[in-house]
Amino acid sequence: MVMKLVIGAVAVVSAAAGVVSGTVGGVPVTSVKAAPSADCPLVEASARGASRTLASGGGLVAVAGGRLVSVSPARPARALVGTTQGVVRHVAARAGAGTAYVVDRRGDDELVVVSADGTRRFQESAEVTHPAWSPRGDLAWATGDALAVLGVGAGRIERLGSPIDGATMFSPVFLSAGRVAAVVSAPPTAPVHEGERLGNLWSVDLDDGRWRRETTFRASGDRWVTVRTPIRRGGSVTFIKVIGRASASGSPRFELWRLDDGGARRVARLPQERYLAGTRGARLLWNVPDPATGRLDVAIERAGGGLRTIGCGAVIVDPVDAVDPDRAARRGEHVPPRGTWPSLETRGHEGRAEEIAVIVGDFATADEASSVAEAMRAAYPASQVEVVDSTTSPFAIRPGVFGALLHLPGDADATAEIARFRDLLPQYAPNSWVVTP
Amino acid sequence: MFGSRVRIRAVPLVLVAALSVGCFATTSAVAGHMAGWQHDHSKKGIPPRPKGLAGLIDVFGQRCTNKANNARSWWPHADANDGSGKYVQYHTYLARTIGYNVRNHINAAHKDGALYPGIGSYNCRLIAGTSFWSVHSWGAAVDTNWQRNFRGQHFWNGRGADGKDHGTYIPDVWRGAFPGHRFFWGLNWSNPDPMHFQYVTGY
Repeated sequence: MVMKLVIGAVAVVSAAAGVVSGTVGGVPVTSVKAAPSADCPLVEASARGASRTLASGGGLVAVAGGRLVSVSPARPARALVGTTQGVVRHVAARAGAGTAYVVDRRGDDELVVVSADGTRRFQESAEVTHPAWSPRGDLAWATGDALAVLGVGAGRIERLGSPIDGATMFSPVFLSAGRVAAVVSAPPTAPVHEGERLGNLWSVDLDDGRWRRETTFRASGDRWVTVRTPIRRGGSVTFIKVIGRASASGSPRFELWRLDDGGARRVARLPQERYLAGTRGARLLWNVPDPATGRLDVAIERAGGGLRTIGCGAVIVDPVDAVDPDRAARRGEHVPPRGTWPSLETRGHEGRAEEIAVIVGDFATADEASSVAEAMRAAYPASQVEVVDSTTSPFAIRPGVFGALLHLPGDADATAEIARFRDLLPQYAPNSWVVTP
Repeated sequence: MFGSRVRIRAVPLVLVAALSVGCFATTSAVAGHMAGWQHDHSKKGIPPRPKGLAGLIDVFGQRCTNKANNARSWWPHADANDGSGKYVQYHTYLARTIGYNVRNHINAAHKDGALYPGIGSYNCRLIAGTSFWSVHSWGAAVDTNWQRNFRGQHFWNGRGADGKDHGTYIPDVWRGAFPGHRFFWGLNWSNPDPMHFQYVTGY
């Protein structure tokens, strides 16, 4: 059932008191100076420079150190705007239109739009994400179970509910002036109770509110598929498809796809996790996470292939250097006083670590487990190896089956020991685990 | 006047004495259940808990790796489909505190019946709608009793597989400082997730 609502805009022109310490050319500039990360050096922009950059929408703007920053290949990132009232994220800039970004707060969020006409703030009783501009200056964003669209020069916001009950929508992108696509993420199921399961691109006609499914990706219980960072590129939409297996070891697969009148098709398999951050001329801009720290680099395609890092910060993706206010701890609210915990045993030994073991299983018979135990004894002649079941090791193995269990010293490092075991006995790598006997 | 003051002071004293006797009796009974078993409060048993994404990566390594699901323990009532038992797999860094401390704690207190489907840990997925990886991708978080404690619910439903209301017994074992086991409880988020307990803060 398509829901189409038209609700008057709640635009609050100009800045909110307490957040902004000054206004230059109608653009708020805060007094907040987040400490720049050593990995992501920033220089302060002048208030006038910040105003011009945001209002023009002409630069590449990202979020780093809790602030909007202007990223340029030629010079260090310039810090533009921050806030004490939440976390800045998801920024969209369009030359001639301006810059839009989200101020994520605990509970209600805010969309801020900076243009030559000044600053408008849209308060939403929802999680606001991913503003996106149309070529003519319309603006769309997501509010969890709906999209919001503000037509250029219009004074009201059009809201479009999800095509799937219970689904989450995010990352809108204009296919044309009258059609917006977005990722629709299927609702949780009993086995897959949280986390991404299945995301597809859908599009909606802004005149009649009818939805159309644009991609036909499918998922099973363990295999998940979704879409991230769709952007408009020429007359098509380019996006990242992510495919993973929840129970498997190994990074999910990332692919670059294109959607146009001929449908959706894969352009390339990507060598690592990366997301789209926009375009510069004909070239794609990327957000690439550093696997060692999680920091997000901004990179541009080289003419001859490969990427060149030009800065850091998050553009469409979520910034990793700030905690989502909705996931920040509320101190003590759900922690009862100690006196209400009488059923908790409080004795413990402080010095000696408890024994761990490596188990190989599960086997239908004790004989099968015994033969494996023999091989383990040969590899670990000084260690105790025994055949166990759920009567002797009830937390290490399920009822009705058998395992071969290698006892390890009390101070053993579990991570190192399982790696060593699998090096010594690689034939048991797929069915060996660290347990407490 | 003087007599009424004595009575006012006497009432709290009687209450304290009664509570002390009650607590002693309760603790003694629990100690009986737990005879022969003690927590492992060594640094390997309850290891340091990291903060932020960089700390998570520093301690647990990369997401979605073998290390993130190389430890396991058997949990009754864990399967979300039929309520049967299930292996829960998690990071080897947490092998002692989950497999020994928490699992023994619940069993030794005769509280296996407080568990309820589903229960799980390692789960390599993006958080829906975001570019954040779930802490489950590092095997550093556990969801428990999720069929009665779904994300968005603002309270903990303590009714277990045995049909009894166990209050916050299960969360108390996982969460907070000693005598809990230092897992952060998702119910404390403003977008609450009562089933969720993770071994990292600030992410």
